[in-house]
Amino acid sequence: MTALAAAPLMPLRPVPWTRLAWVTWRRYRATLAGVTGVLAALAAYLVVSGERMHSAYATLSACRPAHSARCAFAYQTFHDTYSQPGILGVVLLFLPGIVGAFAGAPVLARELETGTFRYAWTQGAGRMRWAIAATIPGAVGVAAIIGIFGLLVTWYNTPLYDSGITPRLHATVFPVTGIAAAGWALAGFSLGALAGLLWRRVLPALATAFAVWFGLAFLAANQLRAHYRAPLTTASLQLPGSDLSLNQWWARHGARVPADRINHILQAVGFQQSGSSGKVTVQPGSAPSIDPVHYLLRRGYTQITSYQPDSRYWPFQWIEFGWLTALSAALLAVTLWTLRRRPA
Amino acid sequence: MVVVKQVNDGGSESESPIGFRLDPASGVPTYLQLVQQVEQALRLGYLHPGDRLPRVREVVAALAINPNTVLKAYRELEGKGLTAGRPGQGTFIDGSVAPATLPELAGLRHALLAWLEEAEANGLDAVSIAALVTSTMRDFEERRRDRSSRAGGPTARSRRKAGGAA
Amino acid sequence: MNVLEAVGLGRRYGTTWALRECTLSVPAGHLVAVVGPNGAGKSTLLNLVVGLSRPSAGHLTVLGGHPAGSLAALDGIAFVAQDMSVYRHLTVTDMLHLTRNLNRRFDTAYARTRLDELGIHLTQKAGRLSGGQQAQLSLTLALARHPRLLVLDEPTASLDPLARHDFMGAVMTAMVDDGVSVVLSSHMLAELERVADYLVLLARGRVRLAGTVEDLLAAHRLVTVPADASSRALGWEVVERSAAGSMTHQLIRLPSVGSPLPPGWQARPVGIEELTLAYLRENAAAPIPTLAGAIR
Repeated sequence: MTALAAAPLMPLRPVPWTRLAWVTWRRYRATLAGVTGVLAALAAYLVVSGERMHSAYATLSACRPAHSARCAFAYQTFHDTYSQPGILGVVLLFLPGIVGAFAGAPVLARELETGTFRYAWTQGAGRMRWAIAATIPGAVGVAAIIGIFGLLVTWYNTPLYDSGITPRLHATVFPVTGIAAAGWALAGFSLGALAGLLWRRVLPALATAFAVWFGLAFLAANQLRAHYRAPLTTASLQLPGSDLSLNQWWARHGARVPADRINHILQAVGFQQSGSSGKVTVQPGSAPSIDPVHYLLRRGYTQITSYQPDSRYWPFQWIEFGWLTALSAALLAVTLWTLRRRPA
Repeated sequence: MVVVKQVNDGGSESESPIGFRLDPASGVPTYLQLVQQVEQALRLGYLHPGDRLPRVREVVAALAINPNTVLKAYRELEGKGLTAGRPGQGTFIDGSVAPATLPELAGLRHALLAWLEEAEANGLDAVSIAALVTSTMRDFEERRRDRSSRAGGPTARSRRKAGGAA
Repeated sequence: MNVLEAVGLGRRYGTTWALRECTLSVPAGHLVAVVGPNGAGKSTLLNLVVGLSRPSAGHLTVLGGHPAGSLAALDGIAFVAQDMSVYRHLTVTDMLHLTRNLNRRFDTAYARTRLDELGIHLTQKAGRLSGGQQAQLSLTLALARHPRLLVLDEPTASLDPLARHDFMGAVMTAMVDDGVSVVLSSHMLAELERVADYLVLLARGRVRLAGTVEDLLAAHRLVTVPADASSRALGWEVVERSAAGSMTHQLIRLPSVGSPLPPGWQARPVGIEELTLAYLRENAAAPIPTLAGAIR
């Protein structure tokens, strides 16, 4: 038998990243094809339907005279046709999360579920290098693809912005346009990767990752986004369509008037204000002949609207992208650290 | 059982004339089976001095047995003086198992028959006789092995050219 | 060089110790069989050796002192798991590329030659190969890395006898060609005698026996004694006893090699399969104290 070599004295150089690049490419080839296919189909639809909307808006903006009844009617038609986001809108909103989680969950979970980790993590490169090569390019790739797709969505939405139907800051479009979409895809991916390591099964990981992502998206839309910068207020009754209104209340002599006081006043003239939304409706059984807003204005009350101006769109996009990226990086770091300590 | 492969044409790259077979049910340790097969082949004239035993690798690949087992068998054969290793070339037959000559055989046979009659007279049946013979042979074998290891250890095994015990 | 050195090694899952106080010193150049009943800790030990698991207690070093799981250890150890762990959708060529790219050292020419000899086509998907072919593929990938230690976890459990023979033949041929040491866990006690020359017997997470097969067999005898005699009275350890009328058969462990037996005692050597079974049966009963590492 041949003599056994003595243990090497020099520290071994790790397997170079260039070699691992092939491994990454091979692993993501199928996912890439699938995601590209789905996005291409969606993109085709967006292009076709977007073209229609764009040309309808072009016709609308060419309408003269601008404030005639005919043009106002044309505007109303355009509004009724295109203002509702519909199924497409929902799909687009969830897309970064779905694609991100779908790409991220199997990275570690599939190895653990099928048992191939017993092969992959005992090779000379070791599991840390393997995991880094498996996660970082995937995260960046998913973010880039969704980011590019987001450009298409931005183009698609342009008539809605220009016509004042939907502000750019609105929850139905903000996370899917600009650079925020890439951030949301990153978050979906890193949630998927961590869930995959903890669950060790692809499907539960996918479900968990998406559920958490959804919760995060909901939180961002309802609580976080409105406060990236302190909202502005205005006493004007007419807010430009491109600005996002947040809240409305009544004030007198510079101080806010509680809603039940307003309700009390309105009830005296046949209206009522529902507590939560502030919507003013006619009381059943009465038939008032005045406008409630003008009524309150004449009594010395001021309507205050808090809002975020459209000019803050890009600063907010960068803030959202920033915290999403930081969160994703933290999640990936936790994933890698857990893998190091508790591989199997 | 010995399988004769082909006649040795003298070159070191030729096939060995002996091919080993294992009997997993015999209860005999593997290395001992190999040793016994070589001895049997020598006794029956299938192997001659100068013949090369199969390389360790060949035996391992054919029988799926541990290489150390093959080495142990070959060492044992060398210890019995039946083989000699040539570095880089292999292990070659170097001695012979002297077959007991006819008069000696007849004499031993006669003594054995007398012993068997005595055993039967003492009330042993065939099975008991066989058991007695087997266990006594085992003790004999062990004692011989102990004697030889005590006599020299692994690096100084004496070469015995004539009449090694079976 | 010790291919495996463990001191007080333990691994815990929650509150259960899968492996405990495991102390071993296994020299290189052997085929080490790790045997034991299910749940004894065989897979746990192997996972620790290849770095898929980290010790909860004690130390483990491999290949002459490298910590298990370190880069040097990963480089020199190749693992073939029970389920063969190949990517079912990848072709054989892809598996070759993959393994080449995940290791510092990979002998593609050797791998191709071997696969060719085995009749495994490069364009076949790994998942479509037969059980025996998958096993040979995994083994080829492992051996092409020219490791110094090959670790196999019940590699032949799902193979038919012919495939098993070919697989083990390939493993041991590699021992001759490359000087690789082998550690394998197995249930196949009948094969042990042919295949293993070092034994580690685990029971309930502890090492019950460890040593070369030669030493272990030399240290045990199966004795037939009159019923009133007691090996224990002589200070010898009785591994297993079975009584029948006025005789008992005892498997005893001699205090030292070549200890003389009292007159009237009949003794015969034991085979490795018999020895292993006796120890396994013994441990089905009461808890046992740990024996220190090797017999010598």
